[in-house]
Formats: sequence, C-alpha cells, structure tokens
Amino acid sequence: MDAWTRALDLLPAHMEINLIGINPLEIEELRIRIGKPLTVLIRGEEREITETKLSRENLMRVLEKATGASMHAVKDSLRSGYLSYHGLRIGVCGIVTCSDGRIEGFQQIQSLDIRIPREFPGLCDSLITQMYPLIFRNTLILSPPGGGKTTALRDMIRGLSNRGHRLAVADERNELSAYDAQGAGFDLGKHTDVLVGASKSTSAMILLRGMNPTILAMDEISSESDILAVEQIVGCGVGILATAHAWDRDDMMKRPLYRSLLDKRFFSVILTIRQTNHGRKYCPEKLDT
Amino acid sequence: MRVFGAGIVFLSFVVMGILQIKDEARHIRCLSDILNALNLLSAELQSRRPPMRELLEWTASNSEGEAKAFFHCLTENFIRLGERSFHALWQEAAETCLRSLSTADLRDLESIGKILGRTELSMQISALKSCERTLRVKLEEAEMRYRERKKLSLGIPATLGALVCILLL
Repeated sequence: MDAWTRALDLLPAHMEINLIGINPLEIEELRIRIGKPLTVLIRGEEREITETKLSRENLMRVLEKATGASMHAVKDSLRSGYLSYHGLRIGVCGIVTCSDGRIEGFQQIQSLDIRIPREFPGLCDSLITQMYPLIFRNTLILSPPGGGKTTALRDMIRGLSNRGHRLAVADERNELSAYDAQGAGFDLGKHTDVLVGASKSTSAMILLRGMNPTILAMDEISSESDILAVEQIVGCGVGILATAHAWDRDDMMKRPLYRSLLDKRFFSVILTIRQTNHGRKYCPEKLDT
Repeated sequence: MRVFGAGIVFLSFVVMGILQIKDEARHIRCLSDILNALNLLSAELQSRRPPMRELLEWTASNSEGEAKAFFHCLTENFIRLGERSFHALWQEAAETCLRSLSTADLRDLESIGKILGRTELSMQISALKSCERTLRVKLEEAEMRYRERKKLSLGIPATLGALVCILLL
C-alpha cells in the first residue's frame, strides 16, 4: 500500500472525496481542519477536495484510526505535536495544556496535517558519485519545510548503504524507515540499521556504542541537543548525514543555532534543494574544512 | 387425570419461579464479571498504557463468562476500526455478547465506548471508574433483590400452583 493510499485509509469511509484533475502522485499533504473542507497540498498550494465541512467526529475518527484507539499510548509524540502512522507523519494542532512551560497534552485537537512521504529510488545516485568521488564527506541537506529533504536523505541513505557503507539511522519520528509491525516500509539499503522512536541525541549514543556505523544519519537537526549529538558523532570519527530547515547556506548563517554547525565545521558538503519551475534542483557545495 | 393435570400446573409454576431466580443469578454473574474485567482493564491501562488492541486481548484472556466473550469479540472486530468507530464496535460487541445485562446496564457501559482510546489517560480512567461505580451499585442492588426474592420467587409460584391444584382437584 503506497503512502497516499495509507493516508486515504485514515479517512472515514463515508467521506466523499473529489480528486478530479488532481494527480495523487503530486499530493504532498492532506489537511484536516474542523469546520473546513478537506484539502490537499500540491506544489505549495492548498486545494479543497470535499464540499462538506469536516466535523469534530470526522477528525476524531481519523485520530482513532491513526492511534489504534490508543491516544494514551502516543502521549509522548503528541506532546511533540505529531503522530506516526505507518510512515506517515501527522502534525497535530489545537489547544494544549501546559505545566511549567512544558506541553502536558492536548485539551482539544482542531486540525491535522498528514504528510505524504515519497520514495524515488535512484534520485541521488548521480549526486552521490559527484559528491563523494573517493570517500564519504559529512553532508547537510538544506531546504525549507516540504522541500524534499527527507526524501533526498532517504535515497542517500539507501544509495550509500548499497555502496558498502555501514549506516545507522536515528529515526525519531519513524518517517525515514516507516517501520511497522510487519517490517520496514521503505528500503534503506543493504547495510542499514535503524533506531526508531528515541530522540536524536539518545539514538546517536546508542547507535554509536552498539552498531559501529561508518555513517550516522538523522533528519531535521532542530535543537541544541541535536547539535551536541552531531558533535559527539563527529568526535567519534563517524560520518554524519543530516538535514536542516533552511533555504540555503546564507539563510542558515542567520540563525545562531545553525551557524554554530557551520562555525564548528562539522560538515564538508552542503546539499541545497531549490524549488524551480521545472521541479527540484539539487545543488551540492563543498565547504572549506 | 385431574391429579396429573394439577401436578403439571404446580410444576410449571415452580419452574417459572426457578427460571426467574436463574435469570437474576445470571444477571448478577454477568455484572460481576464485567465489573472485574473493567477493573482489570483500568488497572492495566493505568500501569502499562498498552495499545488498545493489546489491552483488549489481555482483558479477554483474564476475564470470565460473558465479559470474556465481550472482550474477545471486541478484539476480533478491532480490525474494522476506521471502517467503524471504536464506540460502534464496543456497542455491537456489548449487544451481542452481554445478553444477561439489562438495557439500562448496557447504556451505562456505552459511556465507556465513547471515551476509551479517544481521550487523555486520566479522562479514560475516570470514565472507567465512574462506570464501575454505577455498575457496582447496580450489582449490590441486584444481589439484595436476589436474596429478598429468592424465597418469594419460589414460594409464591409454589403457593399459586398449590391453590390452582386445589381448585382443580
């Protein structure tokens, strides 16, 4: 079952969806908001696919299916504002309850954003050959949200793994591997080990100690602890392949958190994904280290 | 022939009384089983927070009587979640398996189906506790009623049967 079908499977059976003129392969996100029609995101633009407005019960049914009627079992990921369902990341919004500035839980959930992951085997093959003619170099993939970072990272993991590198993946949100009870959802290559569910910093330490990787991959560096994890990985002499939210290197330099990544020269290559009229353009850039 | 007829009338009255008592006993047994199952379920939910399917399977394997059948049915039908809401599955299983419960008991139980798995843990636990309290009161009332009526349920039909016999004879 592909990602779009899995996303559709979450919707209540009685919901009438109009996909005329829409190529399901182009759909990036499915958005559910109480009191609004169901929409899909295509090339950054939202399009309505139902005439009727969604009720709270509609949203609750989606949540019920996504959590297996087990809201209590997904409390930790809900606190981080998302849920995972067979490789789909579902962003959650609404009214939260806080204690000491920390989110305790959701008092009321108002909207959901189901992201549809894509798999393009071989997408980065030529890039891998171009960027690493001799040896792997620590690489940071940059793009704005929804720009294709995770898809590129997934393909680079697979490509490097199939070329003989031993990869370990810190998959905090189960987005890269889409592991489920039946096994892996996405092919991450022949020599890849994945740790799902733990924070990136915790995963990094476990993977470094236990799996002896040559490269450690992680999605979305976004906090101080993630940067500390990168420091530890690099300090151990293990290669790092990661992604971050930024338009490009200049945009990255404007943010203190990310600037430290470049200042400390953890990365040798930056791969920027740019959105053009003809699709995505992958621009590798070697840094002085 | 008259004696035989009177005997049958007497016996049928007595059997009617016995059946009434048995119905009440079955009701009490079912209430007690479902209460024990809900108690197990809420304790497990509170301590281990397992996913719903696992929780239902565990409760089914540790319950008895109609409660076991109910949780077993719910586990089997869990695959239809999405196609049907959890509440609908809960209701369906309750109506199919908990036949000894009254309509009022089923209505009390229904409230759990609306909350379980859909809300924060604390809300689920408080809904379970509230339902347990209501059902426990009902169980105590039923047990008291049973003790009071046990003798009457046998005595009255037997007396009535005897009277009819005398009239017939």
